[in-house]
Amino acid sequence: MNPVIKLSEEELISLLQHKDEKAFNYLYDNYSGAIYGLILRIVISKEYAEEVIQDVFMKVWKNIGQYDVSKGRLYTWMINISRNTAIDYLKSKSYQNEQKNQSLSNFVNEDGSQFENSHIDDIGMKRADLIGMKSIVYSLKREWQELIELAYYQGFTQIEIADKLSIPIGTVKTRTRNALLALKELLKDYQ
Amino acid sequence: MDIQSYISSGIIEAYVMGLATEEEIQILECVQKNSAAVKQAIMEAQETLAGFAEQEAIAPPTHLKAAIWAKIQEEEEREETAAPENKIPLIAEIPVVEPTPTRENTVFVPNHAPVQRANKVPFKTIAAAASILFIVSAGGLVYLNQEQQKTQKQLTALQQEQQQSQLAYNNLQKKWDMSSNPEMKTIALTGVEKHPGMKAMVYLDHKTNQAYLSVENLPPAPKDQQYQLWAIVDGKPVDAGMYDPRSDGSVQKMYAVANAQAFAITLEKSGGSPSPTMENMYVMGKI
Repeated sequence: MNPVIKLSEEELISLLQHKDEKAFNYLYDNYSGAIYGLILRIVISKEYAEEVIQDVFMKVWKNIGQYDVSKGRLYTWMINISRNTAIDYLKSKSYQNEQKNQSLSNFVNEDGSQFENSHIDDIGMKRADLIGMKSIVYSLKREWQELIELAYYQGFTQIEIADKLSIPIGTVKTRTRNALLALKELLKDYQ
Repeated sequence: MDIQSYISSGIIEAYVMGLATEEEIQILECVQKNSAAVKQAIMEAQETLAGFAEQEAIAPPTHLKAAIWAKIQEEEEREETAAPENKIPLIAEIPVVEPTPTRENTVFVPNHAPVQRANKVPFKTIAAAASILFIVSAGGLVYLNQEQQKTQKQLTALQQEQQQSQLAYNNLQKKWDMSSNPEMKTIALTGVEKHPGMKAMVYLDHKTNQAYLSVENLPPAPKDQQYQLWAIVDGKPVDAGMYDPRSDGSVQKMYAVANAQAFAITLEKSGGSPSPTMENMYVMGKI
């Protein structure tokens, strides 16, 4: 892998479609950090994250033909696969635990959600403790943190979020928008 | 609702965050095809999330890279050797798009929706998308119309294609019959110096002297002009008939000419000339 080479997403996609090892190297070197960071924040376990990231790369590799460029960037597509895989993985883990009738390991609740009744700050603390890194999300306003936590990391639907927070669905949408706009502003400071 | 309030309703952010319902996704995907502003807003929201993921990146343990590549290769080898029905499902093979039972109303991954969905967008969705667009540009129905017209066009094109291939087949059959008929002599007329690559075929019946023409490669005749076939009899050109441009590649019956030694085609005014315009000769062939 020559670090000097910078491929456009189009170039990378065409390399990936040819199932080239160079494509894998490039993909891994450029995207594994973002993917691993995201997965780790969802599953909050290094052991789990290692399993999930393998699945994610396998899926990207196998399903690259399904990627539809008209619907967004390759990056977005991979982020969605990562979140999906990680959240589903947690669900299946908690399901397995239920089957074995064992007490649930650490922080996963019966329904697969994490920290159901925890306060948002506790979640942030747990994440920070486990991963040893604090997220920039926690410099956002409380209601936006909460929204990103529930929607992005825990994969709740807007109906579930509306229920949980006792707000109308329309408010879930506007809050999501405001959270993302705030995040966009915040990210400018880090660039 | 105008497009600005649609954009600022948060639907786009909900979509990008994987919160939108199946129906909302379909409507949005219809709308974005027709609205540059919506498309732009989606891209911006996606950029934000990509930037966020970048910001939150954590380097994975170094041994993982080689492990994943080994797994990919192993998988590919197995796929090559094993028949598809013998495949043992792995976690990695669970379809990415499958909605989980607890989130049945949403597809969590909007960006790689199953391909087949594109073909059966419910009318309700198209209607909803169209109604949003209608108010935006007063052109919402254009979308529905366009879809319908597109289908109609495709159908017509297919029908034409089929007719054409049937026609081409018939022509070929005719030519085949002509050239394999022992009574029939085949004369290839090839491009003169000025028109290399041009080609026509004359089939001549020995017994009746009836000539048939098949134009293989001649440029379409300009307006008010027409190709004329000449038989050369004892060095003199004899009119053998006009080529009908409507015959479209088929074999056309021309005049019967006795004692022809050669054939040639010139471009003449519509309806033909009494004698050929030599500088407009395209192809020629000796018997």
